[in-house]
Amino acid sequence: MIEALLEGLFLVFQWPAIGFLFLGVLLGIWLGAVPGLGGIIGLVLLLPFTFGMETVPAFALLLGMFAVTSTSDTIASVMLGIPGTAASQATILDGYPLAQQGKAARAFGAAFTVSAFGGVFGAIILAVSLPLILPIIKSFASPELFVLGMLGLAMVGSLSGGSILKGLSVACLGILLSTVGYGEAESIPRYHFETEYLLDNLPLIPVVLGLFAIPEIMELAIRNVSISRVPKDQTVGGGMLEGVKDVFRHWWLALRCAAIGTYVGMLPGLGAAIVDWVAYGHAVQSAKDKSQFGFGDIRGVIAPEAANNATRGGSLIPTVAFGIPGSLGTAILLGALLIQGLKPGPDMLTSELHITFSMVWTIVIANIVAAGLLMIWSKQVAKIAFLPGHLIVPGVIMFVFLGAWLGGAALGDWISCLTFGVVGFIMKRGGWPRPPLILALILGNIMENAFQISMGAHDGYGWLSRPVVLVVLVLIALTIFMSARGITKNKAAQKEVEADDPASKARQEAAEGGAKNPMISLPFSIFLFLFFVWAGVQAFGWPESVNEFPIIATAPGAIMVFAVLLFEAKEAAHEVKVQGGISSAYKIALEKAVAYRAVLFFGYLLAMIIVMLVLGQKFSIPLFIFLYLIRWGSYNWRVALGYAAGGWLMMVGFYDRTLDLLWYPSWLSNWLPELLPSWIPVWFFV
Amino acid sequence: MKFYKSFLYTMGLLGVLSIMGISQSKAGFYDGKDVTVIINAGAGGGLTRTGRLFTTHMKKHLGKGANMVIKNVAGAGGVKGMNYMAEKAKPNGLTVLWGTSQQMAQLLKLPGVRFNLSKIAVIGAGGSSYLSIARSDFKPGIKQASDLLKVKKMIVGGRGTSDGLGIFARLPLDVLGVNYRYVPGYRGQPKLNAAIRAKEIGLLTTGGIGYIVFYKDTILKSGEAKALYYHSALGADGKFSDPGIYPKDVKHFLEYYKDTHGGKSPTGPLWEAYKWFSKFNSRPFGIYARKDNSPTHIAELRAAFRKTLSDPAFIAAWTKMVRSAPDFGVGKEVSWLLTDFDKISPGALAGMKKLTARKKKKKGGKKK
Repeated sequence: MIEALLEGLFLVFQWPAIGFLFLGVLLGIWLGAVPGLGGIIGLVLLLPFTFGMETVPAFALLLGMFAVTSTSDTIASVMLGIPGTAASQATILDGYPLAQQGKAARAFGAAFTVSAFGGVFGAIILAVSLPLILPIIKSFASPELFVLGMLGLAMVGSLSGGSILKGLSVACLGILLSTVGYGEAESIPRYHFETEYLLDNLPLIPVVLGLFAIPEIMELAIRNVSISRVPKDQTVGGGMLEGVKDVFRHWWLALRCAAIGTYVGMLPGLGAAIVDWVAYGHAVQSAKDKSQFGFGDIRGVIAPEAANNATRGGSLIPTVAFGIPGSLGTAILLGALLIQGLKPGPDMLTSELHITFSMVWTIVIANIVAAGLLMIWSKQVAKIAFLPGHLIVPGVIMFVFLGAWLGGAALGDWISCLTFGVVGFIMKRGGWPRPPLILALILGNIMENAFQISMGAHDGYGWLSRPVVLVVLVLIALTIFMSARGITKNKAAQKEVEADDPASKARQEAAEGGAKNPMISLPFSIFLFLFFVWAGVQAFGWPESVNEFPIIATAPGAIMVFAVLLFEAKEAAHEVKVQGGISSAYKIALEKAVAYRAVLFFGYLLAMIIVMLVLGQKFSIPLFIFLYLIRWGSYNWRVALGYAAGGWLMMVGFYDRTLDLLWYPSWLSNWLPELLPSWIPVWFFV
Repeated sequence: MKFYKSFLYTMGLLGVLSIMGISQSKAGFYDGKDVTVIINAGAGGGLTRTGRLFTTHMKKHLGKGANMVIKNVAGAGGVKGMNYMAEKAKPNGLTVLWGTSQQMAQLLKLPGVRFNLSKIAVIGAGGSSYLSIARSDFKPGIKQASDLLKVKKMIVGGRGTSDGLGIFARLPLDVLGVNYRYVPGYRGQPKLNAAIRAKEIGLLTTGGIGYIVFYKDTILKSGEAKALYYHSALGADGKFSDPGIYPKDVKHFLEYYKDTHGGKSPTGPLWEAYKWFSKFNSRPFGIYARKDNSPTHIAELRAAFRKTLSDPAFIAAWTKMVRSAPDFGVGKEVSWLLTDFDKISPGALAGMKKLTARKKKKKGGKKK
């Protein structure tokens, strides 16, 4: 084994493998950092180039890129509160508050150090536990995957925000939204409102970007603040070195979370999606002082970042050894393996072990290189936190809307992004946590599939008595119980702190799901309740094979939302009494939410979409950038024009020429090609 | 501001370099175009792998700078993907489907079918055989292929109700009279591979490529599973072909039946259905497009398909991955797959309907 280990290392360091590895790392850093791109797009883009390559250089390129997207996606999570990928959702809970406190560099220092640490230790744990892998995989069939999905949702529902009922209701909403489109068992469309766009499932990327990015970007736009609410010269203990030290202070937590990442990552289907939440949950449950989680506790960054990098190695081995991919990314890697003429099987752990180890080494080296490069660059990136918000908004909006467009290249993608931007804004202002919705949307299809297979393979509900299922169900109950107890304790402690420290209340309100605004939350809970009831009634009219899962989501969802509704009604009644009437209560609530400017901002985004219909994106986005900087940012026309031109170059150079993005067929695109002289490329404009 | 300026310069430089480095000319329809390739199966499975490989080579013959972009639309055994192409794709020559053609689903009017195969054109289609395998430890134990007949109730896994994997997994059991419970929903061979290893299912059917990639040197070699019988194309001479990739002791299902039934051949509607399916599923996957695309676009797609088949780079890559030479038919050579499939005998139709009848729920919530 040692010989294979060293031979694998030697193979990676050979030319051209090492060159391709560095190329992959650079691409991975870029793809992970830009919202809406990510490792899957990278794999799809790079795969055709590897067809004619030798095995080790091909995997150096693919794995080098894929391994580091979960390191660089931390940039969006920390700086913008946008989960760069599904595996970095938990990082936003504490990473973004740290950036708001002017400590983005500290968060980066911790995240990148622990990412390298997680990647390396994950690989070591993987190497020493090769004999355990098959028994672990064999003990997780469909019933176990279904309850594991439930555990993930219970964790995210309980841990994000100050209300378990709200968190779990939102998870039910996410499950319900995952059932939009053709059913899993039979191809009968659900909740598609007779639109073609919704026949397929609701696309994840536009929803994620709308739900997280737009509300956070709006915050910068409508309040005219920088990401950091604290001026640079007033930040204390926010340096990168401090973050590196944090990892060494919490080395035991990092090690445990790397192990969690490795083992959970092996589980086919959903390991990679829930791993950050399992690690985050573990960090919270095992901490003596839980009070700072959600408000910028560095352990809330260390835990998920250690785990999500370790997952890459964990999911690789079942793929190469047994042909069982743990995630969509590894499914594509499996394809690459077969195209290279290799077969997954015991040979990959015996005669071809050196190839397997070369892949593990690639992940290790890529993680270390990426962490080093990001450490160097992120000092500059962290400075963005102190830039005026108006300079950040147009660029991020461009990446957000192009990221949303990238997946389906349909008008519906932009409408989804904008719609979920509105939903995200209301949820943020009303104190409803958003991460459960996204995780449920990711897991919904997988869980429905696992549920139906479980019911079929085990002849009804017999699978509920399987040992692993019972253990996970107990874990779910414990998670909810412990979180409820933690929230109650924190609320009591918070009341005492607020009396002495008024800033504490503001910090509480800024945290995910922490806002208290019953005048906004109440109408949203009424809407959700009616939505659940309507969805349930619709589902009863469908065949059993497609209505089981929507009903599973709507029934508990409606009950929990009703409980929230009663609570919020009481709070709203109190607010109305205090403010001396319903109209003054609403006036104050809307002022608190800066609702007028928010509507105006949404108007700008809507206008950008309308202009796209006529002129196309290559005009509408630069126009938005230009007008925003002039009207909102009060910048001079030179800056606005330069920025807009930069945005246009990015669209043409990267999205059009490199990614081959299919642009919207605008009215202009129908006749402009005929008018242009042949020496001017049409793709400059449409 | 310094950082902002550097950022702008970098973006500008990147854009200019990208633009300078690339030029484009306008000649054929597909020059510089993106063609969306819907695959009606999950990522990581055989269809996606072969689809990626095929389209990587085909795009070179389609047009200068043409690109073929994969989009997996898995679910309902492939019906979902075909629906997607029939309903969502525009007839502008820029969307095709690589995958299974779904004749069974239309023939049996399965729930959710909203496509009409008479409105679909075959660009080209490939051949495959199938192999059924079972866990050796499935009660009371399957040490030899004939032990299958001793099983009281087999648990069979598959993708959907009307695709090749699902039909060839169940139909022989019905012909043999073996009791079983069918569990559809596995999105591809990697999922079925995981399920049979985790003992969630006892029997599955795989395509020839899946056999080589997932099972030949793993659970079949170790004895964890046993190869039962294979299924292959029924020719015009009424004989089943020999794919030549399975071990000598693994026989075609007809021979298996004869061996276990005192030399008698199977009869009846289920056997008629089996023969019909073996004929129309002899080329189970390929590239399909909406017929209302311009005839010129369809002809260009077929021409590119044909050129791909004689491209040495493609032949080498395909043989390396699949471990057998490419076996495809193009255009009108294989159009009968979608035009003649409904000429089915009443007996065979009755057999197919019996096989795919919707299961009713028992009292107490348990399924039959």
